[in-house]
Amino acid sequence: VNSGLLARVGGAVLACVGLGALGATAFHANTTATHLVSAQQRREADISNGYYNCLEAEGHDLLRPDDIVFVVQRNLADWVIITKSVGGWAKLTEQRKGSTVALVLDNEAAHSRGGQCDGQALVAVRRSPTGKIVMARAP
Amino acid sequence: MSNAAAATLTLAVLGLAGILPVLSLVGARLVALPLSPLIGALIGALSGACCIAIAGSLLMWFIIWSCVAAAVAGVLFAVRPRARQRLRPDLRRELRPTVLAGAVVIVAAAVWALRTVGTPNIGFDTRAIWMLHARWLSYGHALAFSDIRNHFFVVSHPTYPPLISASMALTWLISGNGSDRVAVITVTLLNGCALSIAGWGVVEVARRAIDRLRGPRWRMRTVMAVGVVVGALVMLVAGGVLGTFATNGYADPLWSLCAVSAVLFGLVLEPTSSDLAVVAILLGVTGLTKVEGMAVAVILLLVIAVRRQLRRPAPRWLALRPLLAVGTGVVLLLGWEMLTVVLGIPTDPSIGGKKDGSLWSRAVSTWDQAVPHLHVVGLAALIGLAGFVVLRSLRGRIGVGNDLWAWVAVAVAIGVLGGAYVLGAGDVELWLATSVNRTTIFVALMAWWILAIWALCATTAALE
Repeated sequence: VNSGLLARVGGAVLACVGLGALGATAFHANTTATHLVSAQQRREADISNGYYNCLEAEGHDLLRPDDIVFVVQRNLADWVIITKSVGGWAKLTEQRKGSTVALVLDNEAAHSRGGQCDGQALVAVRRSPTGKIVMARAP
Repeated sequence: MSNAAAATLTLAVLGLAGILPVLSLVGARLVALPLSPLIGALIGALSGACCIAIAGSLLMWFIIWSCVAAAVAGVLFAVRPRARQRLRPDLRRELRPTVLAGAVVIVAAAVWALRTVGTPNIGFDTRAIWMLHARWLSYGHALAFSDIRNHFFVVSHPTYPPLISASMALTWLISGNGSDRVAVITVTLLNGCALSIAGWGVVEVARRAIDRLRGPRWRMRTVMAVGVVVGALVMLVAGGVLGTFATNGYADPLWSLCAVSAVLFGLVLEPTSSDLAVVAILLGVTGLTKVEGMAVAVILLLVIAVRRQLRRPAPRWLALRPLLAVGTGVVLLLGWEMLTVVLGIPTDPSIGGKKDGSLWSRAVSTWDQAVPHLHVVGLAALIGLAGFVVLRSLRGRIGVGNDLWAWVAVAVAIGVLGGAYVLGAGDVELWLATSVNRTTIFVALMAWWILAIWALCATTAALE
């Protein structure tokens, strides 16, 4: 068989398969991207961003600049949410001893008062100068 | 300042920091444009490391290192007058209408592939890892040094390299816009640069092929047009592979795309000294973006070095300069991890700790969960095999490297990335469920690019 002819014919077949696979997958990728920019996806992203912005704002209201914050680890999810909300600027610790305030994520806030952040709220627990335990929510 | 304006300003500043170094190393090529912000991001990463380890603010170190980089570039131009004299003719070659038209298509494909940036997604890890570290960096040495060593944050992977976090923090510091969203847009723009380089790599293959082919002008133009179309198509495919991760602030797209481009410029093309400079920059970004990227960057560096050694004319004694360059490269790539040990930064929980399950059960789980993301590897292998049989001589004739080198790089990368799951610690099922869709990105993209190069070679053969 003429090797030049084999290369040309084989090349044409491979080109069709390769370009076809690329074209079909690019079309499919385009459909995926169209879904990702849909109004519903934007709404969900806005809700998520609003939730974390809200918790961060509550953190700023509740914590003082020199606070050492003990994060109450009821479960990993709460721990991650609190870390994401205030971990970038607050001094966090896993030791209760030496901390000046404890921070809890109140998941039941929607049923009581507050719960501004998608039904949840941060609660700061600290000891007052008179020795009393004081729980505070963001105003 | 709006988010888009703030991110664009940051990209411009990163590009300004990188333009002289890239011109001195790479020359006046179109690929230098998207490379400049990536060098700027590298300078940002170096500044982040200095801010954490020594003293001062991130911005202070960024200004210092940008000046140092510009000065070194000036010295390089001064001691290599030929490099300076080549700038103008190189630029003239790059500004030909067909080349410019190709560049416009590639940029348009990048914009289209990353249009999901319109949705204000901020990923889970983006908040839990990258943005967290970025906030520390934005407050300067005292807080960054204290928090990165705080055992409380061990789950946020404090040993991850600082390139993404430093770029985010620089965005806030340069623009004065401190929103989370603007940081994510900056990372998306860096991804856009990396994607453009990977797409342009395919066009470069077509351009080198044209230089070596003989024939009528229409055939040359057709090969160039096919190169541009294939480059744009594979970029759109990459947009689908990356999905939401391309625009939600994750680090995986950046290192994966840079690693793919490093393979293109270092193993697919017959690399010139300018190409090797492109490879060095891309491997730097790969290695300083994520731990997986660092491992893959070291592998790629070694594979490229071995290939170059084997292509040396006999006698193939080990030359001292390349050996020194590779050794220095490996040390630099491992530099951040060595620094984390020196600074006493807590180790990632996935590296230390107790292993759940046997090696075999972990290997089976890894295989089961990774394969659904890697079907394209089978297709690329089939096309590669057929291409090897039918088009091997043409591939050599047009100066495209042997496909086996790219496959060696992919195989070793699979071994390292998969091996981490098998040999690592903790619950592998949970680990896989939360990461395998991202750790497989490099391998999937590499398979698509291998397929794209064969499609280009096959079309060139069909046109002969």
